[in-house]
Amino acid sequence: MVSLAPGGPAIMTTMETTPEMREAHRRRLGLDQPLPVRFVKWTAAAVRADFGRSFNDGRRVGEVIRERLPNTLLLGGAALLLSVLIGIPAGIVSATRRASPVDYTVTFLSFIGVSIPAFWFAILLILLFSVRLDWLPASGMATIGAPFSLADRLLHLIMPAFVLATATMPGLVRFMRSALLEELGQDYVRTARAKGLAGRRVLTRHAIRNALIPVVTILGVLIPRLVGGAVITETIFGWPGMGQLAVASTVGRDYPLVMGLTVVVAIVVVFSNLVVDLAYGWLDPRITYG
Amino acid sequence: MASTRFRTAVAPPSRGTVALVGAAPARTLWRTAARRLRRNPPAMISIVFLAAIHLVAAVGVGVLPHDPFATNPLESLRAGSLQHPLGTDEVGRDVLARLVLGSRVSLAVGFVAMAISVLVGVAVGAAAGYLGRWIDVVLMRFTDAMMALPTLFVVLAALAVFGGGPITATVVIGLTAWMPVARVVRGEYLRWRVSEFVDAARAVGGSDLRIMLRHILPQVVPSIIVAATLNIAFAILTESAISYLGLGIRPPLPSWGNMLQNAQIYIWSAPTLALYPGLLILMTVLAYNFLGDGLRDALDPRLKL
Repeated sequence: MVSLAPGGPAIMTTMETTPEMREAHRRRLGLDQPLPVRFVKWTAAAVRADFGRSFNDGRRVGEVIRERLPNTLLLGGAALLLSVLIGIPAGIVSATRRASPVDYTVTFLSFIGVSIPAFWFAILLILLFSVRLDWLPASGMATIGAPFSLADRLLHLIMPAFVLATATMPGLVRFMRSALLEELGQDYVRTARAKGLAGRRVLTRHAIRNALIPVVTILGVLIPRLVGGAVITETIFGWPGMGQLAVASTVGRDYPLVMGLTVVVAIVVVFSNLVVDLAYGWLDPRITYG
Repeated sequence: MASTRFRTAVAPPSRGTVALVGAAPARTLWRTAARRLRRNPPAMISIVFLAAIHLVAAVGVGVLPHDPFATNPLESLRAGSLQHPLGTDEVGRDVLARLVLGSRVSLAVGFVAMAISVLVGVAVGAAAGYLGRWIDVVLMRFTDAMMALPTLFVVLAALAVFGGGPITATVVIGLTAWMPVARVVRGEYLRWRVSEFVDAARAVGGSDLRIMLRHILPQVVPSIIVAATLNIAFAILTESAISYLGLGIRPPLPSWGNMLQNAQIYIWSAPTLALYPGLLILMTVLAYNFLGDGLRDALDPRLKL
């Protein structure tokens, strides 16, 4: 499907060549064959985890992706951690102090979070922390030429992870807030209060624990959003992951790479959804499978 | 008509009696919604802002003195002045004029993409919810699968196939945003399918298509309006992202997203270039989100009293 694009790699790579040379190039890349044939061949190879070679540099697509995947997982994992560490407490505070200035502030900020264009937010952060204050590096994964160090990697990680987390945090905050509000209205909370348990203890031991269970399911929704957000974040911060690769290969019409990336991303998403589902069953004994 | 009359049967007696005598109950719903919306300051501010920005986008291009495409190398990267209130860009084009034309482009893309997503979403959701059985299973599994895919990856793959440009970008954005609409609409059709007015319509010989469109669809309109409002926000945001990446609206035609494309290069010399388009995106998307949220509260039939 991807190879329906007008233009095509043969034209892109050979700007000043004769039609014969272009034809030979097309044959070498297998572009002279009809589309259905190419798709069947691609599928047959793909199920054996062979996505062919990149049009760009001739390297195996699997190899190129394997190089990029850990970087995206690191960025996505850090962003997920940030959203959970900030989002869950924010949701709890928002629910327990309902209709207070704190609640309104949290709600307003989460509206900003879903509405702010990630790339513009990234530019603002770079402007402030890299250009003005010179605290954080503006791009890349490591200082060029410097030996690997954890501190250096973390410094490079802060801004991209935060930008990526702003896309997922608001959903988490609002979900946590409504889940907790619902639990607080339950009879067992009143019973716990009635038997004389301190307000704080009712909250931490009973309500929050129960409210957290449905919150796990929303992680399944957040993961595709994180991966999608990585496209923008990685491009701006020069983070060498799969999102950046997706943009580059789309611009360069590198079909094998685009196809391979889409398949790998789908696998990652499906796999993490499976993990989320299993975790849900483990957390909530009422859920059984089979 | 049958549909609306049966709906009021569940309304409180005071209002129900009035409705049964003949006043259109749909108006009551809208009037209640309008009253609730007026008590929601963020939603009201959003309406005012959105009205203003749409007015500017509609008539602003003709009113402004500068041509948004006219370059002037001698006047490049100027700060705001009397002649160019928001300054000029890297080739000396008037930033204000480009922002105004860009508003028209971005809002148009947002609206058309929203319309596509609503059409597809309503069709899929209505078919799944009303027809049920295997059609429901197939359509909803497909919806789930589409939802699990990261939007931007899908958009990029589709743009690699069909090439960039305003029309493909708009269609692709619309086709990645219909899933939430389909889910909401399906839920509504499931609910109304077993209602008495549908039984009545079927008893007098109404076809499935007629029941879906004439009887159930009007009940679903409030939910569709909410979903559509939130989808405009999503579409504007997505358009800005892909145009920023250089794959959506292409220069010289300005959009809020592609105006930021070059702003990053001049972040040192002309930081305000990066400020205005982003601020417009943020404010417009924020306003649509506030409005959508306010409409959801205002139109929620469960809060009817």
